[in-house]
Formats: sequence, C-alpha cells, structure tokens
Amino acid sequence: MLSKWGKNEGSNSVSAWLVSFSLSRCWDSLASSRCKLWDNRELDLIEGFKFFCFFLAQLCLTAQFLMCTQTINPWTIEKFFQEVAFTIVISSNLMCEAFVAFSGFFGAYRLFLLYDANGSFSFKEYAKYVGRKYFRLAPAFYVLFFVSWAVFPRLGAGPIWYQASYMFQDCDKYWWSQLLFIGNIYPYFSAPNAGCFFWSWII
Amino acid sequence: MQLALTVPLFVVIYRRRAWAGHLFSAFVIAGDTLLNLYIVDKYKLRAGPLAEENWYLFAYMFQKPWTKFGSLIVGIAAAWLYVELLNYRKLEYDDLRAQFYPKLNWCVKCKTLHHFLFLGGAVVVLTNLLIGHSAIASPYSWSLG
Repeated sequence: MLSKWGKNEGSNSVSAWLVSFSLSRCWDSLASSRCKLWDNRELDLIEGFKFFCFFLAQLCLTAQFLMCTQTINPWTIEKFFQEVAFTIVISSNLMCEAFVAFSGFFGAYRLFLLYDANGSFSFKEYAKYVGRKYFRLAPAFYVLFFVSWAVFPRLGAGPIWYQASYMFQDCDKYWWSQLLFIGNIYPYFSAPNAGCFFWSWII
Repeated sequence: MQLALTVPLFVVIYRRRAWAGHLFSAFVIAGDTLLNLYIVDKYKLRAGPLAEENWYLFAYMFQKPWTKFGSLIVGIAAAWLYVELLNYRKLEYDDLRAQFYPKLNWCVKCKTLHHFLFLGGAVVVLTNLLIGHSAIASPYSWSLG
C-alpha cells in the first residue's frame, strides 16, 4: 500500500485504485493545490483552514471513540477533564461547525462560477455536482467503514476488547444506511456509545 | 454530503435575486436557531458534555443535518461575497470600484475593519475553545439560566 514516491503505480485499474490509498499519494494530494487554472491561489489558504478544522474535529471524535470503547479508563478520563488542554480537545467539536461552513463555501463558490458561466443551473448539472462529490468521498468512506466494522475489532484481545465493536454493534441491521450516507437519520436515535458509525455523516 | 445537496438551492436563489438569497438565508438561520433552542430546552441539554442529560446530545443535535444549516449558510454567504470580491477586483480603476461596489470598496479599504475582524476572530476562536473548561471539568457547574 505504500508506493515509494508514488512512482510504482499499477498499470491496471485495480492497482491504480489501491495505490490511491498509498501514504505518499495521500500526502501529495494533501499538500498539492486543489485550485483550478482560473482560481486565485488564495483559496489554498481557505482549504488549509478547512483541513485544520477537520483535524480538530477528528481529534475530538477520536477522543470520544477512545472514551467509549476498548481503551476506556474512567479514572484517567476523570483526570483529563480537569486539565485546560483537554478542554481544547472536547471543544474541538465546535470545529465541525467551521468545517460545515468551509464546505458550504467551496461548494457554493464552484456553483456560483458554474451558474455565471452558463446563466442557469440545470438538473443535469445538479446530478454532476452530486455525482462528483459522491465518487470523491464514497470509496475511501466505504473502505474505512468496513475496516472499522469488520477488521478493527479482530485486531486485538483483552478483558474489555469486546468494547471495540460497541459503536458498530447495530451495523448488522443498519449497514445499508451507512452506504447511503443516511446513518444519522436512520435509525433516528443512536446512543452516543452504540449505534453504527453514526458520527461519519459530517463528511 | 446531506448538507451539500441543499447548496444549489441557495445558489440559484442568490443568483435570481441577491436580496432574496439574503432574506431566505436569514429566515433559515433564524429557524435553525429556534430549532436548536427548542432541542436544548426539550432534552434539558447542558454545557458540560458529560452531564447525564447529554445522552441525547449526539442523537438529536450533533448528528442531525438540520441543526447545521446556520453554519452552512455562513459559508454560502461568504462564497457569494467572495464572488462579488472577484468581480470587484476585475475593475481596474478605483473610481469604478467605488461606483459599482461602494460597500465592498469601503470594506476593502478600511484598515480598522481588517484589524477588528482579525482580532475579533482570534478572540472568538480562543473563547470557544476554552470557555467550556469549568463545564467540562464539572458538568453541572453551569446553571440552565
């Protein structure tokens, strides 16, 4: 999975797809500009802020995951909550709001340019907009979902390791709603330490 | 993904009539704020995330896309403003810029506004990240008001 400097990319579509998960390819993608030729490069700065918000949101969600599953240690957590630095970790959930705002900015910016170029916005363009977003997110999301649900809980052992699957315990019933990106709406209620990967909807 | 599906609606309204876009956005933000207030009141949610009542926080607030419309619309309105700024920059002469985009021209030229926004933004970020410390350390230390 680790392609050296991204040069040993496969010649067929399967290996090309696998290489798209390589660390070097992901780093290159992260570090390179997403600006089109006609965009001002200042948008990279805003994209950087978006990434930073995503990072902080992930920090908070990872802490939430670790507090609810197999690494839980209530006494350590109680100590963490008294520290100011940990306040930043918990408060980072607010960065989800900033992430949503930046996502709205980039989506609307592209659509404004499209509308101005064509003078209208047809259903076909709407379908293209949704399709592009889906195909950009879905492959990595599905891999992450199935690995977290089916592989990760089998990677360890211990007295409380069974809790590794706590937040995926309803996936037997509701895996399809994750595939459709509606896991936060169906089922309507998910307990914070159960359900099926419910926090993933934000992407 | 769910919120992204609604972005084109706002863009089309903004492009048909800019004032209608602002009005619609303000209406949705107001509705979203009232909805959030209602959810907080109904489930008695607390500022401290570990309060017992916050069992419902994820399920009914954090997870639902309709509680995020306020943030989404801020981004959409910012994109509208940015596109206006790009059009403003295309004009070569200052007098034309002042004539066609008087408010934007004032915002671009006013150094005091820039400093205020920069410092105000830093204060908002730091406040949001740190103000919850006492509520996180002790979930019931903040009153319900």
